[in-house]
Amino acid sequence: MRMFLTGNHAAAYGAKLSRPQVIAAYPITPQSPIYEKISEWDGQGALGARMMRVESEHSAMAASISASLTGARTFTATASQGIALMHELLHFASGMRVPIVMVNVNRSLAAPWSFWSEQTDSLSQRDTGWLKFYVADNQETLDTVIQAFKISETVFLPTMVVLEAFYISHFMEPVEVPDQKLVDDFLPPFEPAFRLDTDNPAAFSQTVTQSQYAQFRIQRHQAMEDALEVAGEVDMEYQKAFGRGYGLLESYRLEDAETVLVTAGTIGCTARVAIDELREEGKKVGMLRIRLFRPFPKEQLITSLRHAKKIAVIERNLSPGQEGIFCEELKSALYSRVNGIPVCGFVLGLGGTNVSPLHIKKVFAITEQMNEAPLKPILNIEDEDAFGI
Amino acid sequence: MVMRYRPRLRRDDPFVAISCDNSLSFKTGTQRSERPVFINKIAPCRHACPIGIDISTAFHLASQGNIDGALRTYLQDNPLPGVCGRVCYHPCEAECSRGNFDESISIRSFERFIADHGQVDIRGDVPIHSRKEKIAVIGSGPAGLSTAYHMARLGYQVTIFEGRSEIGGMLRYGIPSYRLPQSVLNRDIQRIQSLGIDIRGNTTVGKEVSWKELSSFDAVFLAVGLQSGKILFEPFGVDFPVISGLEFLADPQKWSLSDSTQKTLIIGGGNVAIDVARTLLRVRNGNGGNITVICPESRDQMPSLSEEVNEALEEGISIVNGWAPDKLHRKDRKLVSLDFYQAEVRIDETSGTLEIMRVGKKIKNLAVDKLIVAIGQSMESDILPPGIEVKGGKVVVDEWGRTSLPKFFAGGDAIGEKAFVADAIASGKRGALAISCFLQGRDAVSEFQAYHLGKSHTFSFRHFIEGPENDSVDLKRVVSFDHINTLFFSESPRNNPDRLDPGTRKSTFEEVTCGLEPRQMEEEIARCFRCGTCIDCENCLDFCPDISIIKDAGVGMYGFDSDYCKGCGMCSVACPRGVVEMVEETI
Repeated sequence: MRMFLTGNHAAAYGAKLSRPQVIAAYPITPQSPIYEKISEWDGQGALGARMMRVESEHSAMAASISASLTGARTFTATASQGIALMHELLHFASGMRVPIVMVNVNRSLAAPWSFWSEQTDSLSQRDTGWLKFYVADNQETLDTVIQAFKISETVFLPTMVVLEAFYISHFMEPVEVPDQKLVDDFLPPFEPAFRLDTDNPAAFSQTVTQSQYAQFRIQRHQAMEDALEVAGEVDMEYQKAFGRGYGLLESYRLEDAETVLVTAGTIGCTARVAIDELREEGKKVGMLRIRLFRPFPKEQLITSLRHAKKIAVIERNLSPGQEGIFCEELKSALYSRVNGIPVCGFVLGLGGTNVSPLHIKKVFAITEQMNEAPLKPILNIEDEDAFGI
Repeated sequence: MVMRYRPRLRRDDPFVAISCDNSLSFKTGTQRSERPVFINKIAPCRHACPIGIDISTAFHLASQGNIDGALRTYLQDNPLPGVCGRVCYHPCEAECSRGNFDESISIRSFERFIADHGQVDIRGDVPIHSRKEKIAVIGSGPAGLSTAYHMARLGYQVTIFEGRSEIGGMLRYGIPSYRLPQSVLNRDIQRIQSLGIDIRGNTTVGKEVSWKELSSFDAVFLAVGLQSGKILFEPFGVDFPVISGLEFLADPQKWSLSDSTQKTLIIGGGNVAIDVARTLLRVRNGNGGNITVICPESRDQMPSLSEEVNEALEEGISIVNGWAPDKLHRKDRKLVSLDFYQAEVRIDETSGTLEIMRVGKKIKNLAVDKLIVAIGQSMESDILPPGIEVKGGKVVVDEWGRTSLPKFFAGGDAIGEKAFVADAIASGKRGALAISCFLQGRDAVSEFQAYHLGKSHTFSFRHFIEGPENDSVDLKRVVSFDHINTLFFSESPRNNPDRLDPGTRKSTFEEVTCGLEPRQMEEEIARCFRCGTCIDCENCLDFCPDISIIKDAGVGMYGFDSDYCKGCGMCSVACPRGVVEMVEETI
């Protein structure tokens, strides 16, 4: 059924269609509408899951881990300070191999207080052992939530579906909401390999020896590597069943592109418009959108970018003292196989400021004139003289 | 396809850290540097009580609905709960820890409540007449009754000799019935009598019975009290109508004082003076216009209980402070007025004696028709056995109440104890311990030290009877307010008993102070911290992070699992009432 939905409600529909059994969450702007929509269904008796209204995000994740350990399919959602508060338990979730699916609505972290879009909250959780999808629109939000359950429950790792505050969370778009039957066929009930079972009592995550710990860490890493293949397969399967697929990377007019804009999230949608216009001007430009950030699809990236002459990374986050995190990750991936492609890092849209097609065209112009990749991120493209444009 | 995927490890080779063993193999007890000690202690109320009543245990039993058990606990130490529940000066309430939190517990009202509502037949609890030794108790006031009661509980055969027709001493003849109804006194006395005590009324030893005849007794306890009111103005002759306050109280109707137009002065600032004034008010059917209490002490210095003073004032008695009697004026051999000089009183803190000093030259002249004097009591000279050593009007005794005569012990007012009922009862209780030790050849000092409470002057009679090994309580340790974890309590106001309206009560001998209603009493019982008394709240059990508290570790007390207790001290902090404490581990 086609519905006119905000990104938050698309996420809520994606969760509901996946038939979770436990949802433990705590409301926070801009995630609250997800919580509210699920609460509304709960109030109507239409949720089919046990909703736990907990006292904090830390508790939300603790409850989710425990619920998942019992074999219940578990969903939660948070944002910003909320995911920061969860941090400790995010490690627990992946270490305990629970396939929780969590939506994180990217919001700037304090201080100072701000409520707008920025990716630092989820990127700060880079090494927690969660799979992370960065989606670009409302439809992709819904579809990725359903896919995430299947991937997570296959590799026994939790998955984060990340969408940007307001650009996705509060904007309404037409969204195709699939039939429940179709989703049920795609996503069978969760059958964990191990679960909390009162008939066979066991302690989970007890203290282990040094070598056991090392082994568990390596196993988790291997599962993450496996998840790359699984995620690709699940996406293809999804495309077959629902007619929509996204790949782990979105390539846009990349075939003969000499300059490639690399980005993640909603800037990808804006970039398509700018690229269409630039192509009309005869510029050989394309776009690569990173959809799966963990596990990082290195091989696919290298393959896609091998023939690029120049690369510009545009992103809505900044690691103080370094650069944009996607840019850093991209350079790291390229370094081992492809040398010499200048990569220019642009940090735009911090604090939810708008990144328009015009901005993207400027990025392209700056990159085209660049002969040597700058060591520092470019933070300001407003001052045209600085780039000789 | 996707479903072919399996984790690289097999199902029986888990990729999640799972232990189907338990953590009992980790003997965390080795980490302990402190260990919890679970032991009941003395509540401050008990420590302050001259009789040493186990108040917190009684409250605990009452909180379980066991009013009889509460009364039985009181009766371990106090034979007169109905009396004390009404007239005690309740030092327990002054020390009540709850007073540091919001308001102290109405402990005296509790004692009255359980005495009025509890039903206990103590005959089955004690080995009546199991010993052949016979004890004579001379005097049936609170000290004599207390000794008789406790000796009977120990199995001795007790005879009480009382000169008056009825027993009770000052309780019956000195305390007005609006404070202590006769029926309440009788109920307490009947319970004492039920222990097979032989009571000889109208029998003054030295008159109806000779001291020699007492030689068949193995021990004699003198609790003769102070019977005579001191008479002022003796140097001026005895031909004017001075009435002793005590004699008045013994039979208020016989003094022809009911004419309310007669100006009546009551000299004295103690309880007797106030009792006289209020009794006279009632004799005069509530007309108190001509009743004046006058004393040299200031209002704060008056030895009478402040609540009695306040009630007297409410009833319209006028109390004049700071004046001492000087001269009397007569006309036709009839007393017409008294001069008073302005006075200040200095009280010697150690001896309690008064020094009255004249200040200024002012004289107050008060017209008077009747004069009642209530300035203290003295002992009648012929009431004691011949040859006994007396000093300053008091029988000379050692710290165990032994007099100069063999087999003769003494207690109560006769040896100069504090003149309160509770102190007299305490004196009798100590006498019972001493006599019992004397007869059994035991050392009273070590027995007393074994069972005495904290730094007080009293001891636990139950422990004296049952011996030391019977339960887990450290009689020497008093739980202070610092040991109470007030997080587990919420503030709630104290329930005070209602009193009859002054206008109503002043013309009747009906009891002024009412008992608490059951609902109020329930609230008071719930308010009690039960300091130092384990009530099975199980906080220690709930808060122990190592599940190492053992509920039944013998003698009805909690313990800990030495293999696993890390000595974190959570149980000690979580104990609301100071039962659990941490001590250094000594291995």
